[in-house]
Amino acid sequence: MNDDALLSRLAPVTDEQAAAMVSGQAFSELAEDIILIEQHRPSAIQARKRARHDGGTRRRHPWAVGTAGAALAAGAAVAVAMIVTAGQPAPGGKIAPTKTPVPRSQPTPAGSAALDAWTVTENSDGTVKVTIREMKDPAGLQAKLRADGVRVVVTASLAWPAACSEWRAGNFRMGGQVIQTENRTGLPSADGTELLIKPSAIPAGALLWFGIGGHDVTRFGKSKNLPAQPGGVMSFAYLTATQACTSS
Amino acid sequence: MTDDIQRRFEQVYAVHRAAILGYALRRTGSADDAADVIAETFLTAWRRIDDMPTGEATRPWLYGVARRVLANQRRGEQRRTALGERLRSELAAEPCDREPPRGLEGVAAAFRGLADSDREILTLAGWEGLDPGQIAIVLGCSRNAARIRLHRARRRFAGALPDAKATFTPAPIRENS
Repeated sequence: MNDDALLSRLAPVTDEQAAAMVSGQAFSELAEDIILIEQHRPSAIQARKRARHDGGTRRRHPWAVGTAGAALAAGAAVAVAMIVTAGQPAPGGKIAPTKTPVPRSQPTPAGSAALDAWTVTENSDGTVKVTIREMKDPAGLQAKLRADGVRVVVTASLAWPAACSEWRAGNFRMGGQVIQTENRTGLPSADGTELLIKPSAIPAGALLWFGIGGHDVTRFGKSKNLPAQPGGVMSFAYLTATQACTSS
Repeated sequence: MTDDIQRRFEQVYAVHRAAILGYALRRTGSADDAADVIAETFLTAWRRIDDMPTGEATRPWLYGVARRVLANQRRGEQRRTALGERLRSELAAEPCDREPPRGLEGVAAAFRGLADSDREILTLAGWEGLDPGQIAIVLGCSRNAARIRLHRARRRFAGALPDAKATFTPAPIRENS
């Protein structure tokens, strides 16, 4: 055994164990706070003013469509357990075609004859892969996932339905066992937002919620939701599986 | 442009937050300290995002920031931050067993007996898995200096082990890049 191996056994905690000590929501709240603090520093405010002045309106790069300003939800109304930015549209504003073979559900968004807004694919290991290119027909996606045994609530916004409440008042840890991005890093995929969901890991009495939406911050600690759009922010949380929430 | 910068920060945060938290927890037994380290590290990253290197150099750079935050804490200069209250409370609820594994008590004692500088460079290699080039970024020294310091620290660690011949084989100095 060499010294690195010996030392690794002396480490009080691994990165994986450290990550499991903190909920995704707590991690996300910290990122929100950091961004909000900086946004309210005088230098940052001046920079934003200059950017608005230069562009007249908020400028967006083609690959960043839909990040919609402040990308993290703030305030108690939005619980973010993990944050990813959604997929990148192909040049020219078209959504890149999927490489997912034989999806079991292919809702076609209005105005698009060839591309699917989202696809759901069951994997042999029991996980379910969801690829979202446009957050259209969230009710249809929710119905499809529920039909596949995934107790889920899907919204086209960063807020869960008003009829729902956070499971265990937010006192939970999701970790990476229930839902994760396909590439396991949180980085966007060129094929859209790709999620892997493990239905069996959703706790009894809970519903897995995820939503995609544009978002902007109006002032410190306050936020407003914008219409969902490609490249929006995704949020996750658990909701209490009440009748009202389930049927919302 | 502001959107691009924020997007980059979010991606860096998503990829490296667990590693920075792990780095902090491995070096402090205090949940408050660990919460402050991750908060201050990423606040610095956000404010200095134009200075933050890309690619494989990002994580060592973040470790370097976290290292300075820890050093400030040890000097009593670190203010408690209000950032990350929820993270702080969740960490405080988690016991962090710092006892060495059974059978490695002697190794742990030998390790504790090393100088702080030796322990730091050994843990950067053994706990964070960094090579000398990456360690150089963390410590702010040259790659060659990091190689030499790591070599000497390993030699001293080997000499301090209770049964060096039975337990120790010098690790080769890796170069990840």
